[in-house]
Parts: sequence; C-alpha cells; structure tokens
Amino acid sequence: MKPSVIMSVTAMQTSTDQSKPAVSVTVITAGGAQGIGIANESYSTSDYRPKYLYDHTGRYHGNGVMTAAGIIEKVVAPALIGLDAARQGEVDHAIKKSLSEAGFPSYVNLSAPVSVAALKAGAAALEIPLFRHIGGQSAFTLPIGGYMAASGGKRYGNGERSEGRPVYNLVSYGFDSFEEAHYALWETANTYEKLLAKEAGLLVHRGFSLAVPRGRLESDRSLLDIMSKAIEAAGHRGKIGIHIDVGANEFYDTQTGVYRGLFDTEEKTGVQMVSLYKELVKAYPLVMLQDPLEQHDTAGFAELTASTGIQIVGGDLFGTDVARIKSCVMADCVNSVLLPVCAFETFSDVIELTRFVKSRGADVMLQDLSGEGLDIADFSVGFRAGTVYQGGLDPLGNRLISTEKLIGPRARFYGVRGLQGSKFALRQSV
Amino acid sequence: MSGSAIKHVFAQQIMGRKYPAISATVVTENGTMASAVCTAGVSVGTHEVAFTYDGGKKWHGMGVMNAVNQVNEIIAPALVGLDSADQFLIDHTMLSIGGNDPSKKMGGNAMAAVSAAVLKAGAASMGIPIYRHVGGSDAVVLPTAAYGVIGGSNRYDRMHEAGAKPTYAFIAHDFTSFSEASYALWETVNDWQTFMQHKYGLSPLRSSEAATTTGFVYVPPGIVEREQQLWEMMCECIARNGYEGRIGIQVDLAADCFYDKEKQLYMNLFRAGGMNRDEVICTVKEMADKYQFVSVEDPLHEDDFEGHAMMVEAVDIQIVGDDLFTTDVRRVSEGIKVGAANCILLKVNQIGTITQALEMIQLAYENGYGVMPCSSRGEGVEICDYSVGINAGAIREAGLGSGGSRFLEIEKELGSSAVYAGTRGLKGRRFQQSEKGAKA
Repeated sequence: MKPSVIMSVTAMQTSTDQSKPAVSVTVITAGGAQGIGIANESYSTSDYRPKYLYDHTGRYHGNGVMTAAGIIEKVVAPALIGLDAARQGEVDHAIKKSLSEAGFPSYVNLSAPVSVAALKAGAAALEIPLFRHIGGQSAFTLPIGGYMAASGGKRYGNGERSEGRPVYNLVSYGFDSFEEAHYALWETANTYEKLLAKEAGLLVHRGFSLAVPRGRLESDRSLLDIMSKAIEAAGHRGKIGIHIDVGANEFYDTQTGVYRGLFDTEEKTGVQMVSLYKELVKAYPLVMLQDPLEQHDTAGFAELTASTGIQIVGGDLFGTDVARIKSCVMADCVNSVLLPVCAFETFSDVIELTRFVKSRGADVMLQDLSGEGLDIADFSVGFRAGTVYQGGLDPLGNRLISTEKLIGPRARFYGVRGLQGSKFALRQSV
Repeated sequence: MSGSAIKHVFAQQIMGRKYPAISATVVTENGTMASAVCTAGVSVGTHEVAFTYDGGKKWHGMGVMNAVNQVNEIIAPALVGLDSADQFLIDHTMLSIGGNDPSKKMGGNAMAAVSAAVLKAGAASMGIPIYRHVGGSDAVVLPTAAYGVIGGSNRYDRMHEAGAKPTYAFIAHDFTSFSEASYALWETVNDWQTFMQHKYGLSPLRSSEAATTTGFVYVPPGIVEREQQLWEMMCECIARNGYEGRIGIQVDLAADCFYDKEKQLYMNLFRAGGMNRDEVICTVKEMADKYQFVSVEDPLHEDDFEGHAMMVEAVDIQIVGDDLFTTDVRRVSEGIKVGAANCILLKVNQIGTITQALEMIQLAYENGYGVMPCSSRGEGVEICDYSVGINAGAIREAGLGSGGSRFLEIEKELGSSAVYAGTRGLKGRRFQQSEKGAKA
C-alpha cells in the first residue's frame, strides 16, 4: 500500500488564543505520516465571516465544538479512509460529499481542519516540506515579514471589539535575502523601542501588543513619527516601511455613519478617512493599509487602491465570502486579499481562490487568524505570496529563516516586488 | 529522501531534429530511471544561452560529444548522492561548476538535459506526476487547446527560407474543459485539412510522434497573393464549424526572419515587397480587429522593444515575445519595463536548467505576464506537464496528437480539481478586462 494512503482520521476539541475553542483533526497515513489541522473562529466581526458549528449548550458559553468533532469522526472520517492524502482535490471532494450527503450545511469547522490535516499528512508521507507539497518546485520565494511596533485598542474612547487594532507593523523589504531583511528589522526595532521610551515613555514587550493607556497620546501620528524616525536613524529609509492593520470596521458607527476613536478622538466620515490616508501616505513611509475602511465601503477601497499606489489589503471587507472576494478583486477595490486558510471550506477552495486573485494581478497575504499557526510560513512560500502578516522577530520569522535555508542558495526573497501597488511595480507608469 | 537520492548520471549523443542531440539519464537509489533530451533549435536567436558543440567538420560542427563528456566526467560526479527531488539544489550545483570562470562553465545543452532528467527522476521516485512535482497541489490548469494549421515561409520570395514561418494555429479558448475544447478543435482542424486537400491538394506536414507542435499545412508560393486571403479562409472555416468567437487564431510571425536591417523593412512578410514598422503594426491591428486572431508572437524584429510597446498599446490581444526575449532574464526585465508584450514564450531547454525556467516564470507572473510553453528543444510531451505545473493559460500547438493526449490524461487524473484556462487564459486587454468591466 502507498505510504500516503489515509488510515485514520480523529477529531477533538482544543484550546486557542482566541476566545472560542478549536476543532483539531489528526490524519494518519499507512506510512505512519501524521498531519494536524486546526480550525477556530477569529475575532473578525465581518458580515462575510464563515459559519462555525457550536454545541450551543453548557461549557465555553455555548461555544464548545464537541458536536463538530463527533460529526467529523462519524461522517467524514469513513469517507476518507483509503484515499491518498497526497491528492488534495480528491480528499476535499470526499469531505464535501460526505457532509452534504449527511445533510450538514456548510460549517467550516467540519471541513477545513480535516482538509488541512490531510494536506500536512500528504506532505509528510511524500517526505517533502509542506510548502513544496503546495507549490512544487515552483515554491522558492520568501515573503516580506514584519515586526509589530504598536497596537491600538480603546485609547480614544472606542474600539471595544478591535482586538488591539489598529496594529502598526514595520515591514522590511529592501534587501536581498529574508535573513538580511530580518537583521535590518532587528536593528530598526531596537532603535524604535529606545525612541518610543524616550519620546512617549512607552515600553514594548516583544511579541505582545503595546498597551497605550488612555490620555497618553493625542494622536497615533506620534507613533508614526517615531516609527519614521527610527527607520531613518537605523539607516533603512526606502527599505523598511509601515503596515497599518486598521480594522476600521470595529470603529465604525453604523447608526451615525462615522468612525469614532480611530487614530485620535475626532469623528471622521468615510470621505475624511480617505483624504486622511492620502495625506498619511505622502507624509510617512506607509507601504500597506489593511482594512482601512468599514466593510461596505467598496468605493472608498477602490479609491485608495487607485490613488495611493500602495498595497491595500482587504480582510473584513469580504471575510471568506468567495464571490464577494472575487468581485472586489475584479473591481480593483483591493490589490491584496487576506487569506485565513483554515476559515475556508477546504484547502482546494483556497488554491482556487489564490489562483483567481493572482491571475487578476493581485496577491494574497497570509495571517494566523483561524488556526493556521506557523504554517502560514509554508502557505506563503507555497502560494508565492509577497507579504505575510508579521514574521519578523517572532517564531514565524524563525520558521521563514529556516525555510530560506532549506530552499538553498537560489531561494529568492521578494524584496520590494513583494508589495502590491503601482509605487512598487517594475513597470513605472509614465 | 533516501529513495530519491541520485545513484548514476550519464549522457550520450543521439539524433535530434536536424543535428545530433544530447540525452541524459538519471538513476536514483530506489531504482527509478529517467531520461531527457536537449536538441539544437531550428532557428536560434542571437541572444540565446550558449550550447556546447564539438565544432570541426563532423556533423557540420554540431556534434555534442563535448557536452556528453561534460556530463559524464564533471557533472555526474558532482550530483551523485544529492536528492533528485530537490531541483534547486541540483541545478545550483551544476551552475556553480567552474565558479566565475566562463570557460569552465558547462554547456547549456548539457545542463538542460541533466536538469530535465533529474526533474523526471525526482517525480518518479516520489510516485507523483511531473506536473505535480513542478507545481505542487496548486497545479491544476489545462491550457487553451491549439493545433497547427498553416506553415511555410517563402510564399512571396522563392529565395528566402525563414524556418517555415509564419505559423498559424487554431486555438479553442471559449470552452469549459480541455476535452470539450480539443473535440471542437478536432472538428475544425479536420474540416480545414479536408478543405486544403480538396481546394489546393495540400496536406499537413508529417511529424514525429514526439513532436507537440504539429499539424501545419505548408502553403507554397503561387497559392495566394497576400496573407489576408489565408486569414479569410481560416475565419470561414471557424465560422463554418460554428465556433466563431470560441475558436481563434494564433500566429508566430517570427518577424525577425523577414527583417532587412539595411533597408529597415520587413520583406515579403504578408505579401511580396517591404513594409515598415508602422505598416506591420497596422496589419496586426487589422488581424486582431477584422479577423479572429487572439495571439500574435514576435510581430516585430528582436531588438525593437519600442515597436513592441507600440504594438501592445495599439492591439488588445495576446502579444507573445520569443526571439524578443529568448527566455533571458535581462531582456525580459527590459521588456516588462517598457511594456513590450504581455506573454513570454518559454522553451524550457533554451534557458538551461529547470530552476532558471521557474525563475523566469516567477518574473513573468509577478509582473502580470503570461507564459506560453513551447517544445522545440527536445522537451517532447513533457511540455504538457510543465504547462500544467506552471498553470499556463496557453501553450504552443499541443491541443491534438501526442500533446493533446497527455492533456486529456492529466485532466482525467485531476478529476474535479481540473480547471480549463479558457478565454481568460489568454493575455491582452480584450480577454483580461472585459469581465472586469462587466462585473465591477
């Protein structure tokens, strides 16, 4: 029997860093290879987020996933035994077929963790790295990573559900290798942390969000000032830039149609937000804006994409609603799509979507939101994504450094080409 | 990796299309054996990577025993023990031989044959198809099906031989699966061949089993006075079979072969006599607007980047660069900067190693260019696996015959994961922006 043939599929409920528990699935093949896939709900409040099946009674405020784990073992597992884990399309087809025949509507935590577990078991059975199982020999690029310099929260009186957004990341792109970019990021982060302590009296705990107490800053511009200064002082102007994950949805008041408590205490309309961004792009080395506007403002997104020339990432804008993602990409609302792999029905759906996005001249960006963990390193390399959410001075960065070594001397760090937007294109429009 | 470790590498000289070719064989620890061939090109661009030839009188100087010896004596010992599934490592090792001394570099033909053999051995030793080894689980796109219909270069000038160019092909793009497209192509090509046989007594050139770019009916001098007459006939054939707008025409003009540097004119390209650059651009625009052309390759001479950029501005269909780019990174980057095309022709063996080919594809893709694989350096039917491996939207004539058969096999194997590139597989504003405009 082929070593990649599936022998067992088991599921259980596990804990996560998000508030709700996860479904964790283990696939084991005939050759003894194992893959684990995890799916949990992220903090997104997007109208377009996927559906999860919860127990709705008792423990974890009704958010337990014991029912989901049971369905996977009873319904999905028997359909997969005997299939080749290395043939993702067939596995995913069988997952969907078994669930629909048993009458279950589409809940991602019934399908996604099984799909990802099979993917990883397939790679292990072939004895190749996960990124190569996804992208073959064509997977040899390293994405641009970032360092979390500051986070947001309720400091201007709104944003209870923002989960620390806006998040400010320093991203390092103007270098020949991931490792070099990583070192430059380390230098800049050190300079920045000293400046931040001196000028704002704030301390960064590496790897954690920066808690800025209320009343300490008048505006987030002070943070942008310090970041820009640090980039200059470290000697990396034009090589390190700023990525803001705004999470604007969480600051938008649908009743009054204004953004409250975002960047400062002033209330702003959508139109004012757009002009603010245009001004910020001129004043600061911004290279990426993520969810800069609330989820329904497609026209605002399109204007930012056309006028700023930088990477505009959509996340809450379309969640995991594939039809909406496609129409937003076709309408040039964004040039980058946030890809929470474990929040899509199956990995094959992610492959299909990524190909669509890339064929339209846009890119995908991986973020660990829904159970992906450090595998976003391999997803990024496998899909040849230009950017990844963080992956600077953190375990993800370490994994990308070892991936660069594994690919060997001809590994290619994306550099500035990893960024979307006319500002960074090889062909400069006249 | 123990099973996929390389045990032996050896090469020999065999017969290619016109001259000798080099064949390399790789054997792995688990007993897998794979061979690949690299042949000389029929037309060789000025800017191509250097192949090693023996020189002298024998085989008119085109023998490849020196390249064979390079493989057996230098490359083979360097590769034994390495993992055949790690293509980048293998290719890097070969490319590093000789360090910075260009005289000690291995020949492009020696490295191309070994590199392709390693790719095949790597896939086989893991028990996965080549396309999946190239592109991973992400490799699922079948390219638009095309098949040759007209060849012949000296229609308007008996003295001149231009490598059988221009070559025309039907391309079945607006379909939902490869098998459906290739059947429509079969109907139309059959009708075309019957028509040419009955009207002019012409039939397609015979070709070897391994060739994938086939089907061309050679149209000799005296049949037509200008190319427009042929375009009419092709369009009528498409319409007669009910595939107007669904089957289009692709052409490789190889304009460089017709360019007279002294006169700065394209001689005997579309009719007897010369044409300047503007006239060629106007004619190509006519082909795109009045006839069913969807793809034009090398419409101007190989160093006219500016003219190619004007062509892209003027014509909204796929513009492919072959002699223009010769799969050379510097030339492709130069072309991208000025917008000289929207698709790159990829002769895998021309560039040297598989790694360099994949690097070229990455360069094309990240700048929004398409890649059109073409087998003319001994790639054979494996060109189909390369095509699916890189999710190419279009390929040079491999819609029927041995190429078409391989694609049908791959489509079946991929099952519900298979995707037909369709009209969107073609580059050019006409095919890329229409849907965008409609749905925005």
